[in-house]
Amino acid sequence: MQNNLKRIQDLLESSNPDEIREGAYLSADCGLNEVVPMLVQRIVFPNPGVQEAVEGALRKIGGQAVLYAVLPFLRMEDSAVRNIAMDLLRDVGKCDVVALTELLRDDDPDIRIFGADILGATGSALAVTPLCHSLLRDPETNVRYQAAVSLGVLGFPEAAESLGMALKDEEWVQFAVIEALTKIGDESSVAALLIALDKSTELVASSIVDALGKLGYIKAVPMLIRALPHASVPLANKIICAVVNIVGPRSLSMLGAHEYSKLKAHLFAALEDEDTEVQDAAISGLASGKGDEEFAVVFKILSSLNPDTDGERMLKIVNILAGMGYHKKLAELAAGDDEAAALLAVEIMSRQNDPAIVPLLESVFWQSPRDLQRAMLLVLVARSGAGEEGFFSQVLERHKDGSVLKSAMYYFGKLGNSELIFEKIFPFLDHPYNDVKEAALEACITVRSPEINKKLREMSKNEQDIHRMMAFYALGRYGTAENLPYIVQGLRDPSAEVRRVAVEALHSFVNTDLGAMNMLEQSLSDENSAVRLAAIDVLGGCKFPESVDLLLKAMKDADPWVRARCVESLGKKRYDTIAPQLAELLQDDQTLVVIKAIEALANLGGAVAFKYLLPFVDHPEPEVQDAAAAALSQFRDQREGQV
Amino acid sequence: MPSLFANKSAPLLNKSFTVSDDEFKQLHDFIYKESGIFIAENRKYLIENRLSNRLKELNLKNFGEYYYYLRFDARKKEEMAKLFESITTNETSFYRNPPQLQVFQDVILKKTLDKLRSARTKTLRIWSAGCSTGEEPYTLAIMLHEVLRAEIGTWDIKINAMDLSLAVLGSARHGLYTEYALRTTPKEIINKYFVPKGSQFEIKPELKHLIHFMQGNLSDRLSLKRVERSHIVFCRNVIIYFDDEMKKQVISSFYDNLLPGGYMFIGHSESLHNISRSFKPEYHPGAIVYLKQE
Repeated sequence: MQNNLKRIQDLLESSNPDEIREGAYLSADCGLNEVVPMLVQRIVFPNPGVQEAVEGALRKIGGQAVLYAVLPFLRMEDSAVRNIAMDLLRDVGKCDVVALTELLRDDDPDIRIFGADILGATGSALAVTPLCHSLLRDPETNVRYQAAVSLGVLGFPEAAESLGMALKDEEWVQFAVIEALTKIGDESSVAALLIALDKSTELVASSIVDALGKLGYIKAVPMLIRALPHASVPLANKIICAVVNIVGPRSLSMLGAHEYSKLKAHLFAALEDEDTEVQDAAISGLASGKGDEEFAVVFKILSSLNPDTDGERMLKIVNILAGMGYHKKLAELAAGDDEAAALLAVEIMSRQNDPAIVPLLESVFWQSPRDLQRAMLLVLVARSGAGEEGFFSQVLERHKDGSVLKSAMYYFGKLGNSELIFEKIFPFLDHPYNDVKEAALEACITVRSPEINKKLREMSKNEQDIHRMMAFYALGRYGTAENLPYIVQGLRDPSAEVRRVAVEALHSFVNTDLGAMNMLEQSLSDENSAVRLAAIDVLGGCKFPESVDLLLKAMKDADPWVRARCVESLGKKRYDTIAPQLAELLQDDQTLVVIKAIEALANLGGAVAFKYLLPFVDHPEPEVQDAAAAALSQFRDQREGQV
Repeated sequence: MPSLFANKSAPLLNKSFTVSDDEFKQLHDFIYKESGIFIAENRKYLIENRLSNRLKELNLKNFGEYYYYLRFDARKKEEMAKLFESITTNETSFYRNPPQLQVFQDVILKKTLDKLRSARTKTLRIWSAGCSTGEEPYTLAIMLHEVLRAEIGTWDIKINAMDLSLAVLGSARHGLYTEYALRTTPKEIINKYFVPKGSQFEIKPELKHLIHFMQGNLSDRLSLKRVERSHIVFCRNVIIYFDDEMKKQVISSFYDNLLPGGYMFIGHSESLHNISRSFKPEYHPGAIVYLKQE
């Protein structure tokens, strides 16, 4: 420590900027209070790199020593130095708020401004009263302004009354007060703002309306609506925005026709406002009217937006239009020549559940471009039931697009008619795209038909790997006992990928058929580690106690990941007799396996497991220590639970 | 039973992995500790989108296992390189952001060379930090050739090109590029400094000689002290990966590395606001350059 101190002192005394910076770094790393006075003197070194390094060091050291040492620098002429002092004091000011409040009584108004600013950053309730005093009594506008800003930053409701009184101050201070009241945001803030609304200039009123909108206080609404007829257009737009934000579009629709008609003209006018926030509020408000005129004008705005830059806004408007209910204009749009508009219309319909939608989309499907067809089909699949087979059969026969085909197959899978699946879907298992194959296979599985199951068994002998994989996967998902011999053949398949899928397919059988479980023994010595891992995972989920013996054998696998997964599976089984075998793996040369063994022993619980784990709390590897500590606290919780 | 095509990138049933809060924290802390790269909570998707394929290829069940892989597996070093490649976008090209480079070539480089000439020295050091696959340092080398022409042989010039990833450095050393990497490079420059090689273009050896590629971690302040002091530092689109604390530390390391009167370039969308006041910003049409005052 002494060596460090001496070295730091030498470096900080140097005239070489690089050395002073190095001294500052070292001071920060060591956190030495003793060097604070030297560091502080270096703030005035005429090199910004030095100043910045010193500032960083003082910030890191922090505390009262820094606060008291830096305070005098607020009076420096050099603005760069003064700014550094301000920044530091904002950081360390909370150490002694009382000392800082003295600044508010200084003769120099600049120092009072600085003091108010720093007190705002302390986060302390002790700063509220002196700041309120400055807000109402300081003769200097800028001090009162800064006091208002700082009270907002502090956010204590105790300041609301004084802030309300300050709304009679100069306009410049009023803005800061409104912002502060918004930040505080409690009921007394709203009351103060409402009182000031009628008595304010247009500019201040506009800020108050913004603030009321943000605060969302429902009692403010009647007063805001009453102010509408006398307001200028920009202020009226702000009021509309605030009202919609406070009430919400749903509640707005509950206003009577008379009330809505009072707002309607203002809502249309607000659509012309430059501010998109105001426009969006007007859109929400108009949607509550549900009329043709409202739909047309909102849709026009939607179609004028750019999906790349306004995606989020478009989504919001789509939801608003969908909330207006199915509209006859949607049918015109979906059938029209404007593809972008048609896509938006389909997007809106996808969020609605009107019976007119399915026949409409079917009627315009074939004349539509591909992207529109994809969108339409997603809606049709979600909305169609039995009775639409003809349409979807045509899609499968006539279409070539993978996305469209997948959607149609999903429909048939949902329908569950095995004959149709066999006839229409099965051929798609030869499709060149994997995702189309997978959709077809999923439909074949969903339908659960004996004929298709038979076809799948035949496919398990296909010469192509991908077909055998699909067959074993689906046979496993079918899960019928007759499929087992076919899947077992897959365990000896020449392709490792196929063997892995066959192992996973046994998952459906290993809890009911001990023979099926025993089949996995050969896979535990498969040359491919992915197959061995799959076998471990399946055995991990098997409830037969014999699965434990198989897993114990696999604990000697050459691949650490296989050993780790094996231990993990054993831990979940909670057979406390295997604790000694699990404990052997605590000596494994792979940290991963050791951690998994600790976790597994923790799952077993009991005094024996506890005995094995205790020495690992001091293990050199932090993750092992953590695992052991977690395991021991798990033991403690278990014991306390038993007590 | 997992999806059949889990390893074959089929989009329908192939659910990508999701990272739990605990796993995210574990990976976030690990990546930050190893590289200083800060992945904000709201960018969890970055981990999921960019690393899910790694999990599939490694046959891992979840991101918790991936963390263990990075910590303990025998192949962890290779995997770390892949991890960093995945999470840092290596979107780059020759002559990226031409207005900024124009300022470098026409103003800063000329000023620096003149200053060195008048000090009767012909040693120039440039540091390209976060050089990725080499497009930036090679572009700088081309510009040096363009400015110095025949005189270049009389100068002792070294561009220290540093990146975190050994894999991208390997590619940078090869100096082979597709047409896409040269999309913003003037035709005459391609003809002059590249040799067509099949469908690709190889950088000429005289440019390679100017560059010293090195692996380095910008978050490791002490190791950066070993980089030779520079007249100019380029660190464009790199500090975006760091949080403010780390940005301050990295920029401070560049400041320490720069010789008095040296210049620093950062990405045109990056700023030193709230990061450092040590540099004096110089405003040029199309670029702000940061000066370490003498």
